[in-house]
Amino acid sequence: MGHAQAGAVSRSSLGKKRKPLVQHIRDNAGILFVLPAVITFLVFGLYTVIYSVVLSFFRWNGFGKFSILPFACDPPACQFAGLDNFAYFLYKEPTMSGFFWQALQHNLIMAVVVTTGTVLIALPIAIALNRAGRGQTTYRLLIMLPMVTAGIAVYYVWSFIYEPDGLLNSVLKTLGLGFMQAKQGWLGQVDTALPALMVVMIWGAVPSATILYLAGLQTIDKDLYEASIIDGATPWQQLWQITWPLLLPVTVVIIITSINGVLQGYEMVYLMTYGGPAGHTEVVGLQIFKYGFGDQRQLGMASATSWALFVLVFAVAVVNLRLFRSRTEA
Amino acid sequence: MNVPRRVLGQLSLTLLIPLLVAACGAPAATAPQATTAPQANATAAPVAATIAAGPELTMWTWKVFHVPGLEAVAKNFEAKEGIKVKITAFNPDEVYRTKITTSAQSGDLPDILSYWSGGQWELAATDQLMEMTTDVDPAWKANFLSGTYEKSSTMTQSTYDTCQKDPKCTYKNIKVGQSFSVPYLAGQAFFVYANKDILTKAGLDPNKAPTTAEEWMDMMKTVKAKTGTPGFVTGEQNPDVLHYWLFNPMLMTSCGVEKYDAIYNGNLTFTDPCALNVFKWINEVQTNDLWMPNILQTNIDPADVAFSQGKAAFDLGGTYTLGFLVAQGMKTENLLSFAVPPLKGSAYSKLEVSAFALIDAMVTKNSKHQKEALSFIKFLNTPEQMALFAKTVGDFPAVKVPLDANKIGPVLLGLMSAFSDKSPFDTSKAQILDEPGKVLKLGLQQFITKETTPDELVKKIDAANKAAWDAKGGPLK
Amino acid sequence: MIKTKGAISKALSYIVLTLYALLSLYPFLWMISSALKSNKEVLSSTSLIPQEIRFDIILNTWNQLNFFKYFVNSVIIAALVVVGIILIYSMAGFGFARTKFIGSKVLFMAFLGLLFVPGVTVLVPLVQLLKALGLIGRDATLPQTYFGLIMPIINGAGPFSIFLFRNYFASLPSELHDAARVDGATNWGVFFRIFLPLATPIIATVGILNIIGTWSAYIWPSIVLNNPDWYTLPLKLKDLDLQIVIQWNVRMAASLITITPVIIAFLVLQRYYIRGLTAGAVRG
Repeated sequence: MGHAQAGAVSRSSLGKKRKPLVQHIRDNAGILFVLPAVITFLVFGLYTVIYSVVLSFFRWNGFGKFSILPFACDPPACQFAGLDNFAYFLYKEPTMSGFFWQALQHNLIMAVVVTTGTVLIALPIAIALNRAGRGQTTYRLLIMLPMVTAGIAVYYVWSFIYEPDGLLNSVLKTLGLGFMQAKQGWLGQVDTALPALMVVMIWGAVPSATILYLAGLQTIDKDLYEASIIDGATPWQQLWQITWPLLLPVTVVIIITSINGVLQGYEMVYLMTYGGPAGHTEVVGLQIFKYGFGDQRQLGMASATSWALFVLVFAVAVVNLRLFRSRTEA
Repeated sequence: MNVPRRVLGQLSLTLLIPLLVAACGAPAATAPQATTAPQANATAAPVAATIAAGPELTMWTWKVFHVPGLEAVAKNFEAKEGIKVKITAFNPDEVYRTKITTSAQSGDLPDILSYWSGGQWELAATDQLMEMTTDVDPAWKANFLSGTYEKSSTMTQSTYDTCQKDPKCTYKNIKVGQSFSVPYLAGQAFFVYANKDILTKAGLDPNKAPTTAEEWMDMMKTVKAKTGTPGFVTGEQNPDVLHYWLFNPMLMTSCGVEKYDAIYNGNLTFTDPCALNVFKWINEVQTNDLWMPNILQTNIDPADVAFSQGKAAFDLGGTYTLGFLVAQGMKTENLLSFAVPPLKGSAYSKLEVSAFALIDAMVTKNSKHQKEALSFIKFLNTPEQMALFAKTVGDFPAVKVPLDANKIGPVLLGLMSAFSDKSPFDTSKAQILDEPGKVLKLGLQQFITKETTPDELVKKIDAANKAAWDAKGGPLK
Repeated sequence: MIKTKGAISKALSYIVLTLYALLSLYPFLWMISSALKSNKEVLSSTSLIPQEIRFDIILNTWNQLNFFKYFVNSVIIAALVVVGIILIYSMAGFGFARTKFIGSKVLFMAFLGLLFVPGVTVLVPLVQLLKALGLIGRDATLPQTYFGLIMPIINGAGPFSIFLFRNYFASLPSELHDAARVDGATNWGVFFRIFLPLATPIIATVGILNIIGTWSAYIWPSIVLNNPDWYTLPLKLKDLDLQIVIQWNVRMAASLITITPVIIAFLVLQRYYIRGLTAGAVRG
């Protein structure tokens, strides 16, 4: 590690209780690399984070004054609410909290299914891409396309695919699998809406996961594979003993961003189902969006809900990191 | 991204506010006018006095398709007064609201804002808007369709009283009679459109509108049996649609305004037969399999598109729906329209429909050219310019325009003649609280997913309604 | 035997890739076909092949968009954002992966935590902040406004970019660093001369992810930009919705026109990917 040398120097001057200032500075010079990032955050990020936290304890319709430097909250547009916002959506208002817990349940199902699906599809594709040789450039471009085409156009296409007389049902019919058709449309039926949405989410998440895996695969030393072939390892063993462990850091990134995306995301649900049918695809992110931007204008409620979500996502991420770190170290 | 949300925002407001506004039963229009009239005479200063050439005004809206109409008016205004008005649109609704919130924070609001009618009080209460109470003189007022300006652009006694009682109300500082905006777009929901071709194919009389809900149901059944075409489509992905467009008008005719109010306000229950029958009727649309397939994933625009393609015999919508259908290529001759019909034995034998204001224009305090901005709004509100706007965009103006097909086009002409001056909703004092409202909306959708029945649902709504009113200190007297 | 095995696995790879590529391609093809159809046909037909091919829609849309003007604005913003992100956060990633300083771990975890900070509720305070800094509003100049536009985007991309760069730098063999240090290079020398040149794949990755995000951003630019001359392409797109009925063919044509530059950027960045790959091969 880069620190080794500096460490050696400081050990030689152990006679004194405290290191000289110059030495201190030299030891910590690495912080200079991080400084631009820290400054950017202090200027453009810190205020907004604190503001959003403070706002979750207020009731505010977005007009009039609410600021924290200097502090201002002019009634009646803004009122102190204490913990009311949290209490309301967690338990106090039965309808509101009912919607919240139901939405959270959907979020959790999505987090597990979408994340697993993304990893299971993206990894083989990245490996295949990595081996593709001359065709790699073309295939990579094609597979990355959803990243660019995502957005309203694509959601519209998918809705079209899922319609009662849409592509999916007609394909099933042609294959003689007519009994599997969703008569009310895949997004219109209670039992198929959430799975249908998750397929689109996986489809949307695979390209960036693939690109990350590909970057990861390129850092793996080819010698390792050659050595393992000499040892008589099967491709399957290579995958489990070399590729997967070495890609674990990438997998952690993908898992965490996927969970984060799924738990906080709302855009796709907003465009494709708006939480329907009858609330069966409602997600927390969409509720926050409705509080914050909808006609009810409850910005404090939006903040409170999003911070509750933050705590949850953060906890899940920390658990994941711990889990995978212990696996890599073992 | 504004696809499905064409009228969503308007809807919730148009349909809620009149209900809130009318809260005290006092004839809404008289009280404010009594207070404002003398003031108006005292300071009836000519607005568009002297204007030096130069200032350029900006006006915002969230309706992109209104831009050409507003620009046409702006062009005439420039020719007349030498003042340019730049129209900018931000959509969808959510982005527009956010843009206004953030611009209010940074002091960058435009000279003229468009906003949901009746929603302007929050802006006015935080001192963002120029007061127009004395500027809207009697001549100007006389232009508006009844039920628009005096109901949602002027602070009425009943809106005021409701606000004072509600601890969460944020515009307690607005006084009765004050006004900060004028309407320029109006409309109404509660219209059913029928495809005459399909009715003819099913052997029905294409020119005979059903007079009762039961007749209507029979027509749908006949269509389904004879042609295989599903009976009914509307934008049910939006949960407000079934509630406000279908349930409320049927409840109103079925129960009459007194009971309608008493039920929503917690003094009667939804188990009352007049309410329960409405739920049962709506549920029967499902049990008879008359909805278009995928109905819960069909939003307002796609529903209208499907209807225009002949995928359903009936479409539920509003005034705005007609322009949309025509733009989709439907012929007006092929359309039969009627107000949502009442159940047999209803309190009212017919639903009277009047116009609501949908979009208001207002001058911000930010503006450095408030006088000029006001004169533009006044100009926009003149019958000639409103007719030009209406014809250009195919939407319904809030001002009485000449009933002349050349000036406003045949489509709007037909609609304008269908309105009554008053409707039971004008005098309703019902307040639909959030929580029971959510239960009701979800329940109506759950009929279609077969997750609930009318008898189950009314109990759930009553429980939620009781809890919500108890939290407010008991049912509304 | 090894040869046939290799051939089989290669064939298998191509099958997997082809199938998935088709799945990725379908919506894109649908966009192209819709841009060539009448609006009615878009809504009523599932076929990818238009009954009558209409090029006039793309042409008219191109003219209405005033493409080049807004294209330049979009390019400026995307370029500034991406360069800023790569510069600031590759350094930070290196700092966290390859140097030590007091509080390094805590600081890294803090950045990681920021990854999960909800984005919906920060718009209002951001505008207040930019106003206080004079970077938004009527009196702000073009450079000021653009600076105010891009800095929050850069900051927002920070946590994830740091994470990616740190992981990447940490995965490079540590001998690289040690050897350079023995030669007497400073940390800065090591970073700029050895690590950064080796980082092309991850730079390309971070670049691609952020180009796409910035290129298609709508809500934030629509809040910051008041002067229509300064608009980006996505903001200009909405001016096409001038009819009560959404013209899907026009929208698809506009989307196609808008995303073409990103696809080109993609193609360009591919080369760096390949370079990253060969660098790895040579090293091995």
